[in-house]
Amino acid sequence: MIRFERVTKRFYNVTALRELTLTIERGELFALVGPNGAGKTTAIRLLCGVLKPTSGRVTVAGMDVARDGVRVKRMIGYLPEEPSLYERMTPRQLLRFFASLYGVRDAEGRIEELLALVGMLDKADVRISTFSKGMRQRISIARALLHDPEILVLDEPTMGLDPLTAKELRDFVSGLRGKKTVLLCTHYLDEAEQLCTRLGILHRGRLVALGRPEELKAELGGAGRDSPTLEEVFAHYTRGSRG
Amino acid sequence: MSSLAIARRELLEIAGNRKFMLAFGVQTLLLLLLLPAFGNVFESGNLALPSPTLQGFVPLGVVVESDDCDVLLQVLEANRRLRLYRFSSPPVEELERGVIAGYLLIPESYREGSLTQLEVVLVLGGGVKSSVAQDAVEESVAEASSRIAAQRRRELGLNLESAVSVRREFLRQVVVEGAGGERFSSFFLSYLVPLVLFFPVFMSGGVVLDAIAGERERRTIESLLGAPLSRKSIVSGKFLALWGFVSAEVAVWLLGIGVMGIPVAKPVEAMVLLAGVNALVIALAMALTLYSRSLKEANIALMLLYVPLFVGLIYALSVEFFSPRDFFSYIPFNLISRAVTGEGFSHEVLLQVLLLLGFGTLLCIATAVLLMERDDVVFGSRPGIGRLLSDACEALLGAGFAGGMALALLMSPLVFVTAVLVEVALALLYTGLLGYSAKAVYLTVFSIAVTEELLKLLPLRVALRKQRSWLTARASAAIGAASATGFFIMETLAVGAAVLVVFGIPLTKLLYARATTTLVMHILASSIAALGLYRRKKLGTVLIVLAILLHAVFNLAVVEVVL
Repeated sequence: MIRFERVTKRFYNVTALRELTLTIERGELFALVGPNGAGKTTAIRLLCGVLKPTSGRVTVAGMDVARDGVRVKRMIGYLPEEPSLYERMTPRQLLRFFASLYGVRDAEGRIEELLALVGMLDKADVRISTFSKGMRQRISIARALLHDPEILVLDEPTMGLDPLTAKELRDFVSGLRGKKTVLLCTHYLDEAEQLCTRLGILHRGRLVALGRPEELKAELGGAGRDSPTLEEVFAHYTRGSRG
Repeated sequence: MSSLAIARRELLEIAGNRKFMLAFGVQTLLLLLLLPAFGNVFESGNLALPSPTLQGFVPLGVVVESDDCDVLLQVLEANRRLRLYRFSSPPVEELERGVIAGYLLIPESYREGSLTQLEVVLVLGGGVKSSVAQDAVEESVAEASSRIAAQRRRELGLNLESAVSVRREFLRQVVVEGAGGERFSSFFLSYLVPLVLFFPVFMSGGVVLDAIAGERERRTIESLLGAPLSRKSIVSGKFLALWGFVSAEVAVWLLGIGVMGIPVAKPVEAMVLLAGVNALVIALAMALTLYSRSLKEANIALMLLYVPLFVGLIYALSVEFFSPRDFFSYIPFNLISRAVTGEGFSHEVLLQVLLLLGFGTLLCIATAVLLMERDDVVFGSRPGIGRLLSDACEALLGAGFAGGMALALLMSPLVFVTAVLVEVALALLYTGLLGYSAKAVYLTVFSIAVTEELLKLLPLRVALRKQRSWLTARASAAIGAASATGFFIMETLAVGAAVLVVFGIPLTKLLYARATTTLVMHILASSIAALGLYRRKKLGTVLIVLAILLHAVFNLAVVEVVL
């Protein structure tokens, strides 16, 4: 479904991502983990067509993101790290605007449905500038799901949320297993382990480990030793790649 | 469609911004209240214009038929308000073209030595300056009469004080009547009303800043880039909204001015022209804001755009009022002043100016789109100008032969300006060393040939350095020819502007004359030189020298014909 083929992204003299090769299957819940500045957000932005690769290519269902950007973007629901919303608009106005960009049919009905889903129906006509971070995140989720995308890309979705809202969100993502292809980018290893079938560890722009959480643990463990935790696996790969 | 969705959202954003809307409301209210009051102040003459601006204010032709008018001529020449031009016959054509405000005929019958009534004829054109010309001439004639009378009294031995007193008056306002009988001075109409009509475009900086730099600062740009629309539609959508808003503001003001009874002679033309100017300024501001790294940097960049623009507007309106010339109508600021007063306005010029503004706007929007397409511009680490240009060259040359031709044409302004600077420096050097001699002229002419032929090879040099497979000998010659054509266009425009200003000869006449001679020489010489650069080695050098000689011989022939 999603393929990164030797993808490199450079910003002037900084290489944010180096030769990333990765395949994510349809219906899979995949997590990309890594320390700050590892290139997770860059990888996600490249998939969503927000950035263009310096070399290599990203394909979605066989379509090149750089060439068929508009078609690919219709298949993706993107939740950026920061819930960057237009402050002077109300949730309803914002969703209407994005519905017009995505060409959503029966936009009004879909907006009602999504606002009810994220529990914001009573705030539908209140300016976003008055909302808390959790409320903004809910609106962002509604925006990402607006066009019922096949792929959902979530960049640090639970960051800064209260434990209850974070749990609700995790439950929601967990419920998508098998229905949607999800690429989750997170700092929280337990979240990745709990939600995802496979994960990749990025460090300094390189994919340093890839596999199921238990596979990665087993790989590091070895005979006669206790199975390491995912934190230990993460620490091993991110420390090891430093040289 | 997506552009329209972006435009609609942008307009909603502006309408939802209480500060913008409050500013807009207050400005409109102030404008409608204050403008008529200013009109009345100018009309009743309470505000006199400062005298220094009136020095040499009126260009006046003088036709001298009498051989006994020394005193009058002396007094006229000493009049600070007049700038005299001597003609041998009545300068009717110059008067019609507005080069002079009027002409004074001192007829053969005028004799300062005789005791008969002296009479001169003053022929005036229309416009503000004619009334000042009449004042100044009457003043000079009165002073001359007084001097002559004093001289005669001295000759006759009479000891009487002169009873003549010279009245001095500054610019008299030409009063225009509005539809309802209201009266407005022409200074008010030709200066203040156009100045006010430009305010919305100067205030557009705030909305441009919010729409471009603000979107980036708030990181909402990421959601837009992730949506199924091209970056081009984001730029065009935002442009449409900003242009629409600022032009609507102008339309409201223009309508308000009309409702207040201020007589704008050509409101529709003024509106179209202002919309054209708005488009160019907004597109330029958008490109500058996109290129800025932060909101603060964008603020400074816009200040660097708007402050010179405002100074330019004040200067243009001042020269339009005090010293109007035909070619000023090609400056949009002046043309709007003419649309408001109705004096010297031409629809043909309006069309040409609109075409130029449209071309400039498209160029700025294209630049903004190119900037928007770059991730390094949108997400922080902004590239330098050199890198941008190098990437643009790379992209053009990557597009093949057509891209190479486009590069040659696009580089021609740079090539032309560099050539002019080098040529002027060399000419100054030669005249400094050799004085104004034939040797210096011929040396300059030869240097021009060398400079131009070498500089016109610049696009091909860039192309050769990037080593493209399509760059054959024939393609090199074609790029040379394209560079020559671009250079020719720049040269013709520059020479054409000078000829239009000095002699009033239209550009088209010059274009026909040069297209059959200079263009052929440029293309031939540059193609040969380009082949030389492509071949290199001995043959290459020979070809470049041949091209220079061809150009030099042509230049010498032109000099011989002219001298």
